Amino acid sequence: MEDATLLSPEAHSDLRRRSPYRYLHAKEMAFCPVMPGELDHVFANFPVVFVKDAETGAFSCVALFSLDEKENLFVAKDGAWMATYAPEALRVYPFSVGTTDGENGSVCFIDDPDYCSYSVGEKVFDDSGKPTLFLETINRQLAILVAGERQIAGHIAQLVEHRVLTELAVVTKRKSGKSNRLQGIYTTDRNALTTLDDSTVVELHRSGALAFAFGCGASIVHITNLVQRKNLGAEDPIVSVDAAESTTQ
Amino acid sequence: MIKDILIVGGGTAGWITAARLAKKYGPESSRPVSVTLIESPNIKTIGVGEGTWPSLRETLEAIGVSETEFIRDCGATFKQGGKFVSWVHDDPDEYYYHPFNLPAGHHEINLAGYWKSDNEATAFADAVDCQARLCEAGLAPKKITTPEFKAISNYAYHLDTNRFGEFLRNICKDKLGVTHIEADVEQVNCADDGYITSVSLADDSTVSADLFIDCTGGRSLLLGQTLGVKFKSCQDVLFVDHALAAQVPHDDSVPVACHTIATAQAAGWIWDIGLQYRRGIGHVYSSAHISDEEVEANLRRYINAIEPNKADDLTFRKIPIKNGYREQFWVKNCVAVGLSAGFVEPLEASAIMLLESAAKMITERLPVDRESMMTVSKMFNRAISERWERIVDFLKLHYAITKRTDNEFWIDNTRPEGMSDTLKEMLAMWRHLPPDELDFVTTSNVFPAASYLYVLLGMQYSCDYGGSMGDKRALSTAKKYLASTDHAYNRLVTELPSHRALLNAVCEHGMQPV
Repeated sequence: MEDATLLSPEAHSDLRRRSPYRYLHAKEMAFCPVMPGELDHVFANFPVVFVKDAETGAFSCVALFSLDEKENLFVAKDGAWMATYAPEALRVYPFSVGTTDGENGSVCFIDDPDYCSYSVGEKVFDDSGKPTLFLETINRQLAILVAGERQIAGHIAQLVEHRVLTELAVVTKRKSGKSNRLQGIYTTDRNALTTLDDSTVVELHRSGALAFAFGCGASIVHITNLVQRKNLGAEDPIVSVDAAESTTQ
Repeated sequence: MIKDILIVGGGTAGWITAARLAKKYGPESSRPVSVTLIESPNIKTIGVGEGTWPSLRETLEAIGVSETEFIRDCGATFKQGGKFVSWVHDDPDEYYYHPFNLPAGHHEINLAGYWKSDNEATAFADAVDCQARLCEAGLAPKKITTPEFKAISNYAYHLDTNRFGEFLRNICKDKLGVTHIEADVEQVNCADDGYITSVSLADDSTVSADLFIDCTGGRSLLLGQTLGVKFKSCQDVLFVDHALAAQVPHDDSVPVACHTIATAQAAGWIWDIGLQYRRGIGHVYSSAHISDEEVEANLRRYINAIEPNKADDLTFRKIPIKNGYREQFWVKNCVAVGLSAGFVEPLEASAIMLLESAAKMITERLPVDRESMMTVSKMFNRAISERWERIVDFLKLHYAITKRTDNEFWIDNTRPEGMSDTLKEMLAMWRHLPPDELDFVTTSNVFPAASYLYVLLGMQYSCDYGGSMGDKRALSTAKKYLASTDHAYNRLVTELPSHRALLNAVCEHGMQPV
């Protein structure tokens, strides 16, 4: 993975981002974080689940693009996005927010030739070196991603505190009889949600965490979509998938 | 009606019992009771007792404790079993493990008859499970992503007993509504029928209750001294009568063992328990077989081998050990939990496990009135006596089949007079039949049959279990499970963090409750 470079009008005055936008950069991303402002769209298209960070154990909330690692069933060979909606987190590449010393909060980019050009596409800086409308849009999107992650983390903290998250056991069975059990995916527990006490219900409703929790729970049905996409042209298709709240550890 | 409960004495026994009762019978419950604990500001707790069994995970969860907070506040580390060094021969390189994991396929098949068919050099514990290898590799029993109290490899804890007491006290007072009185009990008052009515404190006030729980430690103020229940010594079976204990500090950058190390010595053994910031090291011994000077020299040698020249800065604490337990544990309206009920040397960290068992039983079967208390107390006494007998037998097992002859201590330990009839009969049977759950009477056995198997085979007991093999299908099942342990090890060794890395991650990030 290339390192990101700090964007500067001096060094990158001619930088352009290619159009139309393609999603090749996401072809091995099995999931990406979701933003509060796009929940209706992601709930309507993808399973939205919770996964833990391998280093810290912290939960994040993500849209799933495949049941297999390093695979994205929504990126076509030519990079087109194969659903009606692409999450915000996937649309800012090659730009990102810098996290290196002293550059916190500044915009960086990866000089990926599939996305960057110095002759064609959307200009990043205008002739006087000021950010174009395009770059300002990117800046806004990046800011939304940072703030959104914090807001989602707040919802997650509330759901963990009130014991609303539960592990999901996703078991797939193939035509050959091979079965696979997916680990480490969590969803919201509808039973736990409906038995919360009144004051907790009000608290979660006011913060938005309640609607968020119900939406995540409902989105699990999209796992069937993932299976259908995976099966297209597959030699050993998945014949059954069972996604149930895990009762054993 | 039993409505007010008074626990006399703090420490691990007092506070775990208080927490269990207060959690189950709190003000919102269907049967609220009041729980009061009187703790002396002058009498210290025993201050040792750092090893536990996996039952503590269940106990902490039942009380509503966060595993993250427990590990952070009590300097706790994970424990995956015990490593016994030099118990069969006086050989510093020889060891066996008694891990917490049950052998592969234990619900379906007993691998005792099948494990030897492959490599002679493989130890039983390594053939039927991979936990011992994980311990040797210094790996943790789970990952930072594993939820609180859940295990990848079965585990218990090592903990700082003083901090643990404080931790539990705070939970009891802040979250569970336990009333805490800091005072010395001057007198225990009884009615004509012998039932305890109240205790009198130094300031002449009295505290009454319906049920009294004696957590006063070895002095057994209520059960032993007031109600006169006799102490049955088993010093003729378990010979050790003292421990010399030390604490060796270390910081959070050094590796820490994920198991208790018990190294046999000339006339006893040395425990070595790693916490986050120190190692508890103590020499258990029989003063009839070795002098205090030799014991101290052994301990220094052991400590210096770990941390050169550290031994000189340390204070050693001599603790007397009286192996034995009360003839009864629940008499009238008084029940003893912890050291007041009895004690045996810490060879298998049974003390905390047993007090947890007692506290759970009292909580789950809390009598409603005196009549039901008579029946409950009978059942309690039967269950706890059985547990003590099994614990004494199991500990004796570690000594009884040694091949060491370097000191009279070991030779004396193999004499039949020092073993219960049950143990002698079991040992004879276990020459040809491997230990099985059917060998033990109680429904909730203290140690699973597999534990006896780990110790028997670890001690290289002369036995032949070939006759317990089944048919071809059983053989194939056995082969499958034996093969699975290597696969499990190869997978886990790449996935599991080191013990120290997990501890640091828990302290920094915490564990998720789910």
